[in-house]
Amino acid sequence: MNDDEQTIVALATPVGESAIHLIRLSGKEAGRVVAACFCPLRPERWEQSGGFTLHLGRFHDGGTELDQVLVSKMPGPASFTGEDVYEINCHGGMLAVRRIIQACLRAGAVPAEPGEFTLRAFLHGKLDLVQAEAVNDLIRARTPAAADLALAQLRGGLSGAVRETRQEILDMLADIEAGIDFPEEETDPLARADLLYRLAATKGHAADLLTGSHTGRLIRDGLSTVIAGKPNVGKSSLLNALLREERAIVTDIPGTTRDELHEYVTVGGVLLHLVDTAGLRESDDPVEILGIERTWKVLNLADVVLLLLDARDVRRGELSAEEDAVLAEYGTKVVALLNKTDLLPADEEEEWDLPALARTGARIIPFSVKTGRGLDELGRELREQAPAAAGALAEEPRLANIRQINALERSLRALEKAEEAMLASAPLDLISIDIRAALEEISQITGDAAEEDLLTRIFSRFCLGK
Amino acid sequence: MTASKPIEYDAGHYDVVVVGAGHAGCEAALAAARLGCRTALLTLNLERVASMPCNPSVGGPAKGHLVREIDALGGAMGLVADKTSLQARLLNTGKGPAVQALRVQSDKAAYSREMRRLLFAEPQLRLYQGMAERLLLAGGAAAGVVMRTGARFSAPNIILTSGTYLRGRIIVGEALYAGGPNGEQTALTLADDLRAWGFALGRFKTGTPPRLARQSVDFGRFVPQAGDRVRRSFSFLPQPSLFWGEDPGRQELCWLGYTNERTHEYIRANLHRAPLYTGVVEGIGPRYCPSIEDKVVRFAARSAHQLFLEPEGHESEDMYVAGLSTSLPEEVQTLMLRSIAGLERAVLLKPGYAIEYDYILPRQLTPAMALKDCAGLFSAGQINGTSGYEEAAAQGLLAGINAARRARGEAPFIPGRADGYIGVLADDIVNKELAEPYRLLTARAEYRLLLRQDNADERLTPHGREIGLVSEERWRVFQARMERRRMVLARWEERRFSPQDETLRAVLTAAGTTVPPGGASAAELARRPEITVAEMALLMPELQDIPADEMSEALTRVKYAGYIAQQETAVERMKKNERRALPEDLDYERVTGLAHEGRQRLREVRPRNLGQAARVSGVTPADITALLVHLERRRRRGASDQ
Repeated sequence: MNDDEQTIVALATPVGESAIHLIRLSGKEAGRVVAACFCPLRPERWEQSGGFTLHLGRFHDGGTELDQVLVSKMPGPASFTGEDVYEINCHGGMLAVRRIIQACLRAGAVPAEPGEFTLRAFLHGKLDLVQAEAVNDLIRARTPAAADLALAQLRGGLSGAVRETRQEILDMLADIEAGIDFPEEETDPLARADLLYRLAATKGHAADLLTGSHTGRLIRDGLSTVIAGKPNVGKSSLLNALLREERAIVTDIPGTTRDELHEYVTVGGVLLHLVDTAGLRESDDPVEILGIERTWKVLNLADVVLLLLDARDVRRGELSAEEDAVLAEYGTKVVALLNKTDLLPADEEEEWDLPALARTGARIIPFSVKTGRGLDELGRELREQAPAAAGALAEEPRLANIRQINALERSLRALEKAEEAMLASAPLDLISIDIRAALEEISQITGDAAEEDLLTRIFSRFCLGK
Repeated sequence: MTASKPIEYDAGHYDVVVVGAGHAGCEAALAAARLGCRTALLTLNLERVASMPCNPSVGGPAKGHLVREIDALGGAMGLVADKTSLQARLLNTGKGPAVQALRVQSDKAAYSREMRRLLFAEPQLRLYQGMAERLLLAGGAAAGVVMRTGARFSAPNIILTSGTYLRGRIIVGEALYAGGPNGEQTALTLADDLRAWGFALGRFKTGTPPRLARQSVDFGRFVPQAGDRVRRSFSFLPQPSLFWGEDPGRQELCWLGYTNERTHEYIRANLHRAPLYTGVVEGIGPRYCPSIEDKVVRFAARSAHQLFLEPEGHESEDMYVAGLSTSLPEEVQTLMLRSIAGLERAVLLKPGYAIEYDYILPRQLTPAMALKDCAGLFSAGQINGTSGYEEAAAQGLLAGINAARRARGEAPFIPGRADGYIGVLADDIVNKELAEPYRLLTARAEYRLLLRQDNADERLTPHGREIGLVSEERWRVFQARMERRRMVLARWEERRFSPQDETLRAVLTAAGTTVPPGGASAAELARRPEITVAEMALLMPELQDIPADEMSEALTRVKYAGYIAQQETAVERMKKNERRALPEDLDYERVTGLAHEGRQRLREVRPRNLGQAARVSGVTPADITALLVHLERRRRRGASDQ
């Protein structure tokens, strides 16, 4: 539960495809948070409005425009929660939603816990007792699950990496605290230079988790998905079809390489970072060879490869050497889309050489960009292929992810502060304040108890006692 | 011999009866008597009040902080420890202002004598030697204590401070016998009596190292550890040591030495006779105080463990062997000791031993040290599952104050986590489930930078004054100190130095820092890491009469103002939830949405406010939300759970 001094933010509409999404803020600082990110088209009307009005304008995050939005202003106590409430109507792309929420968090809001708007409404006397009965169910139904979910969403690499980073922070703090509470014991004297080195390393690991690491990127930027295939098999058409599915928002990442085409799109509730590549084939053209080499590099980094095959080739069992190579190399992360099925008689599908294809580990979907056949199945497949990323978007407590990222960011900031204090020759008892803050923040992600772990660590690492 | 029941007789009516005269009992009895209560202090041995059955020292990180706080409130430990100190050292000087702590080596016999003198000097206090056999409780309230001899001490307030004496069992190798610490008898029936009254008891274990004869030690093989050259005291009313007066050069020495592989061999070869490993010991021992056998097993790679020889008194023959706590058989202890360089001819005076004892599960307490289910019954010290003389004394003081306040019809005094380590201690033991004897650590205090030993008086002396334990003298000393600090801080703000100032240039250059081109105030300069009390004194010689510890305290405030403000904000956030009281008749069975464990723990602890509820171990944020919802519904229905 957040402190009721804090302003909460969350998506109010169901996650997924929708023409419009609604993001809601509630709390004392809601007005200030929105004002920091919202440029109304008619500022004087925005300023003067006493509330219960709608305002068109642009939402931005530190100068980057995110979306054109409609903001409604509902000051407390007449609002639904009894606090100052602002609602942001934005376009229905999940990327835009994610970024708008991030902008609000940066401006000082905190992610709402499940059921927290309802809870606040109740605590401010806005719900009657009958309605309130449901509040408890809401709390109990979702909160314990949310803690598990936080970890479930961090399955695999990220969870391990977060725990490793947490352990590093814990060890640093245990070293400092053991030296402080047992000054005469044989705790290895903690050299400041050593501590500084460890701080820098841990800070780097936390930063990697946020930005550089494969899984960190996955959570922030979606599933890295490469569209590959021979020239003219329909890659661009597939890209366009997927983009059409995503009715509203397509955004580029500024500053990334334009050698491939990067797009963001949500398919079946999964955020994809789509990379369209140069066609795969043998070539003598030096420029094209460069492009193909890049394609292989991109394939290496991809989470999912959408390998577009011509269904007629598959039927004939005539895949190119490049297509075979992709399947052999990346089979388990390949979704083979057998395109152009519309050009084949349906009754022949049985005879295709599918077992050979399936042995590579690839998932196989009969497909037609032209008719739209297979698109739904592709969505389901992506959700299965990428449970972590899918969980991040397809389940209701999706904000758990933003919460984790936020906690990690705060942990990183605390580590940075500790490093600064270290460089400014601050004493250990002050540095420990920041390192402890870093530990507490990162512990919110893993759900572990910081204090008890610290004491256990102090006692297990050192031989203390009279 | 047939057991006969002694005939009970009326041994007097008191406001407060204290059972046990250890560090908790002495503080409790002194506080209650000084607050005007007719008080009786019952003890097994009047010659051994405030005895130190384990290490001959007081203070250290967190513990030293506690002693300062006890003193600031008007307790006795600080003054007695100062007066009977053999050596004093400020620890953690290089680690920052929050964690510096004084530690003194004590003359055990003198400590006990001095405390006895204070006890006998209290006109309202009666001392009595005997064994408390059972409690008299009537209608859910304390009524008195009956002694083994039949003496009945009637009182509406009882404070139990019986330490490790409840069903005490001593273990040395294969030798097992009922007993209290240091050869004392154990309280035989009190534990069963408490159980019979329905209180929940647990069982802990602790231990102590052997004592050696001083003249059997070859001190040439040890490294001497001297006290500080600067005279420091726990008490804000300084008390010169009986043994070295004001001359730090006359302090006693401690001695540092090491075990070796041969020592460890003796231990390993006899693990099959170590009660800790044979399953004889059932109680749970503390992790922060492992026995030497435990250290050798757990840290097998180490070829040496350090040990300190510490004198137990100015005239005592006993040398305490810190670091060598053990319950190995006596002959093994001797072998092990004699393998150590300098102890080849060591004579064992008292073997190390383990002791198991019953304790009251402290979840049954309020942070005022009162047992929730029995009005007027208090408990303090090791009986509450804590360890340490200082932790005991702090609880004793708290229990004494609150028993007296109850006797006077006043609300309990409950220091918070932001008021002092005493508040952290009280809050922790009632809210946490103890897995081992509780020892205070600075790491347990979340507002450590606010709980410095140099500002204990500012935090607590005004409370002590309100309670009535702070004397006129202490109050005057305190106010003068506060006034000097205000003056120093104001002068630092006012005094501006021009960049041409000769003194400024000389001092800053010598300190290895630059001269600010536009000049600076003394306060601005104080924030620079290179500037210490010494530089400030050179810069402003007009403040040279201010004592060094006060200058250093003022400097801490200025230097770390940012961090201090940050912690103060955190305290404010915490206090908001502390102000949301939970009704005493709250029926947790009726709070929908509580998880099983949270409900169980809340029912046991019955927290006083929402902030405390959130700190109860096993209670999740979701439980707190459910509680909030329940409270709101209750408010609307009209303040009842029905």
